[in-house]
Amino acid sequence: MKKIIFFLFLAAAVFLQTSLLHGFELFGIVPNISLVLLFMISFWIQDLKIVLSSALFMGLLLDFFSGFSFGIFTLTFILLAFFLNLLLGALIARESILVLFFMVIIGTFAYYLLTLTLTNIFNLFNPAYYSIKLDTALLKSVFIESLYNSVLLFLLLPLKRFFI
Amino acid sequence: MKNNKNKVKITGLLLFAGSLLVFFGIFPVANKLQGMFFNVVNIPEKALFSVGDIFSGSFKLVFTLKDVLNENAQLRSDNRDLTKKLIDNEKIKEENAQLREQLGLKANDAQKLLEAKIISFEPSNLSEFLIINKGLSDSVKKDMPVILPGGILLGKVFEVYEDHSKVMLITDKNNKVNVRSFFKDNIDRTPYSGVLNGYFGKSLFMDLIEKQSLIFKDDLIVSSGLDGVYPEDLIIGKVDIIKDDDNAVFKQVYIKPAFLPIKSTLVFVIEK
Repeated sequence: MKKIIFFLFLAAAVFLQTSLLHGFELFGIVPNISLVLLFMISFWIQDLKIVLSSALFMGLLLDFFSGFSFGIFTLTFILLAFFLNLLLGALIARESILVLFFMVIIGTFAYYLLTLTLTNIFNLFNPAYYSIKLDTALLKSVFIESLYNSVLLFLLLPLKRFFI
Repeated sequence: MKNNKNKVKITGLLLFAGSLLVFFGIFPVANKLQGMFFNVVNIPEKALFSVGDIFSGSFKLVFTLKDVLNENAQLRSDNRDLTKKLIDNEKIKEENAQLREQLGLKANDAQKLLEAKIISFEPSNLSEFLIINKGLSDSVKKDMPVILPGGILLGKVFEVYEDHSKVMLITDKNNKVNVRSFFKDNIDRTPYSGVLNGYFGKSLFMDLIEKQSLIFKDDLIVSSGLDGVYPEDLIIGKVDIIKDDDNAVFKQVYIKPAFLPIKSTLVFVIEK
């Protein structure tokens, strides 16, 4: 029952991102609640199976709504979850909220880098599809989103007790 | 050690599954799944969209109060001018119809519009898409223009599925529109034209404008119809910032899109 509620909560977050949160855009940038939740789950839940299944579930839902090749966000979220789990296990402490804060900022850049790379790789097999170019406009978007996500993180901190 | 091996195995399996998904995405299999998915999430998405719309006004007011007050005053003035023009236009329409009848000319075919609703927006900030609830079964085709009520250009159909379609907005970096300026009556200025690209932060960037063009803030920009994709005279937006570098060959302007903020889920697909 707890697991069902947990995954329903993740689904609700994705639905919010594709509808309600577009009303809260700043400078044309919408906060990425799914990504922030992924970071929070990776940070507080040590069981890799739960982290990866959350990443898979949210990634799949995002792919349904996205204009990119189906599966790009699934792959990006899984890769992010895996690397976060490795880093958090081996190198970084899980105690400090400040660590989570910096993880969100740097992780947002990593998320965009991964999505860009995967999209361009899969465009090799389907050249007529949508392409993304790395330019100053994209870097500005990523920078603003990373700050916006970190603000969203502080708003979502009360949810910590559901993850521990 | 064994723990790490298990981690790698599980992740590898999931990545393989994810890659299969991407390849299936290139084939129509995923499209049917998406269609079924959107039929299910349509209602909650619409509800969330309406709720977001209620809160977004208050949220943005904090940052844009001064602009809102100025815009309000300007709109009241424009409204008065437009009411007068509406009356004049009705008279001209009547005259036009009478003359056509006398000369035996057929009336121009009006554009055929298909009503649609926005189901959801793109979840990432990497691109500018939205999903509408009309697809192949409603005769929607790729590259059909999509507009908001009032002739405001929104974008074009990027992908079509059985009963839904993905629309690429004009603010997307991969969308280019041939545009020109539109001046009100009695203005002695030469119209200028250029190419419109999507830019950072849901804004628009008009390039390739001749150096000698006289451009002012708040000039109205419309589609020119020259690209063969978008019909002419669809409203794009107003000039916001003008870039006139002495060393540059062309002038450039940033344009505030007329379709933002999207207040309603009602859109129209222009059937060619």
